[in-house]
Amino acid sequence: MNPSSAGDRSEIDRPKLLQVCQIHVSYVAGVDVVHGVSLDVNLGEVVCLLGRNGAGKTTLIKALCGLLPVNSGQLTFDGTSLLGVRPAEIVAAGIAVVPEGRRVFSNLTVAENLAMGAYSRRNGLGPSWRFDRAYDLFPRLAERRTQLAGTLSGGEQQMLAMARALMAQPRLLLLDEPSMGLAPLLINLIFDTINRLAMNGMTVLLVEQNATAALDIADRAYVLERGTIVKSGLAGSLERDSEIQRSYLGV
Amino acid sequence: MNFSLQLLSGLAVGCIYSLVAVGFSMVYRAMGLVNFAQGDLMMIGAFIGYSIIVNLPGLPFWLVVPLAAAITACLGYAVAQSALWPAMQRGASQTYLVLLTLGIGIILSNGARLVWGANPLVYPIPLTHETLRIWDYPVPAVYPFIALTMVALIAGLNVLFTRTWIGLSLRAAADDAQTASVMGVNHRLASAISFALAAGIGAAAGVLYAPITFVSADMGMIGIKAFAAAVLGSLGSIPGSVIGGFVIGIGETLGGQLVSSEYQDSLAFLLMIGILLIKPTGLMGRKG
Repeated sequence: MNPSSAGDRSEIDRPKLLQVCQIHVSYVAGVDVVHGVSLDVNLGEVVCLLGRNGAGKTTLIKALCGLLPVNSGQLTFDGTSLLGVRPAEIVAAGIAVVPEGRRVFSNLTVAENLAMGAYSRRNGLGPSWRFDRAYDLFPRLAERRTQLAGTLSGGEQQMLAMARALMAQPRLLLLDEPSMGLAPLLINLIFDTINRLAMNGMTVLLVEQNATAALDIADRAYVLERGTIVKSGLAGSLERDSEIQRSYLGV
Repeated sequence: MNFSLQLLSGLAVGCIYSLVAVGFSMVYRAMGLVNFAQGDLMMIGAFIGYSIIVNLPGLPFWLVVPLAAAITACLGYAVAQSALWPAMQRGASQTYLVLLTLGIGIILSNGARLVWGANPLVYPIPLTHETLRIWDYPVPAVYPFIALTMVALIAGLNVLFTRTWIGLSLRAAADDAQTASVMGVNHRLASAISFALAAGIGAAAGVLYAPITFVSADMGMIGIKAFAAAVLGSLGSIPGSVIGGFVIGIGETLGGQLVSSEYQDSLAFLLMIGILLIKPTGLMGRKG
């Protein structure tokens, strides 16, 4: 791990890819879970969103991929508004998500799951079944390609969820708690992979409770509490923030 | 002896139950509901087949089947889009959804009575009366049609569900609708297509069944036995539904022969209860 590399990447002036401005999101009308959140993700950046259970992280992710309506505020991706845009058009525009809890299609094989990842880029009658890039990224998936995804281990399911999201060839990758419930060795593998993707130019918005690992690979970070951003800054400076250390890093 | 003839007839009627049961399982997987209108959609298919035969007398029987299936599939699509989806969107509970499908079934069977009359109809084609000789036994000439359609439909469904975008998206949406929608699958459309496919398959079964019986508005009662077949094979499993259909079909025919044909219907349900007592999740069920 080279901490200066993250700093170097953020110093270059980059165009804004995702702009979230004062958005309010709710499951039930009148009860906002996310109220007035603003954040930016610049092209090529890894941005981390920290927060405890119930802070509104997953709600925000769901709003970003069109699963929940935005009650007010602005949501812009690459200069185009995402307000009222359906999930199918959002993934086609270039935002793919690795959902919380992995959510692989358990009755589909590994290869079929990968094919579904490319659904937004489908042409012809059926998939081509050539998933070399996914298998190169996670060789384990190649060994298991005909196995039902429901029979994979948690770590393998996380690899599959990531590979599936990448099949959409996104420009922005949303990762919701990718390390949840995984053994330390697998957490390292997942974060190494995110770091590798970032090195190759992928823009990432990472939601995590595992703040140490997340801040290590992130350029910038936001802290979400009770539905609002309470702190933001460069990952390195947040790592040294005493309050963050106390609340999220267990120091 | 009589046994092989009975076995053939059990296989044939088993195919019919299987196809209707597959429809139950598809809708259950895709929409999470038990569609008690499935049998009535089969009945409508049989009547549509009758109208096609009457209005297009020259049309070969092997074309009547897909045509009636396609028309019934359109009807199924309309039912899913106009009645079931809005109810599901508003969060109707399983009980109300089941009642809704029962209601749709009643509308369909009474509608059929209005359109085609209350008297049972017979397909006015030679196939209804023709017999083939197999091992010197007379066998209804429609049996080869039933067998071929069954094989073609199951093979076609397999290709559809494992090789095509549309089939994969239906399975993905059935597995996890929200995640599938993030991949770009339209859940509403996927549900309606699954329902339409199930209706079309049911209609094919109805048209194939008509020559060995007659077409009436009460024909949908077969749906109850097909439901038993789907349940004993594990509701939601397509291979299970096929196997369940054969178990019920062969079981009731041979059992009826051994005991008395009056008990044929009871035997179908006895089989279901017996199998579920031994394996509560059904033949293809998983643990837990």
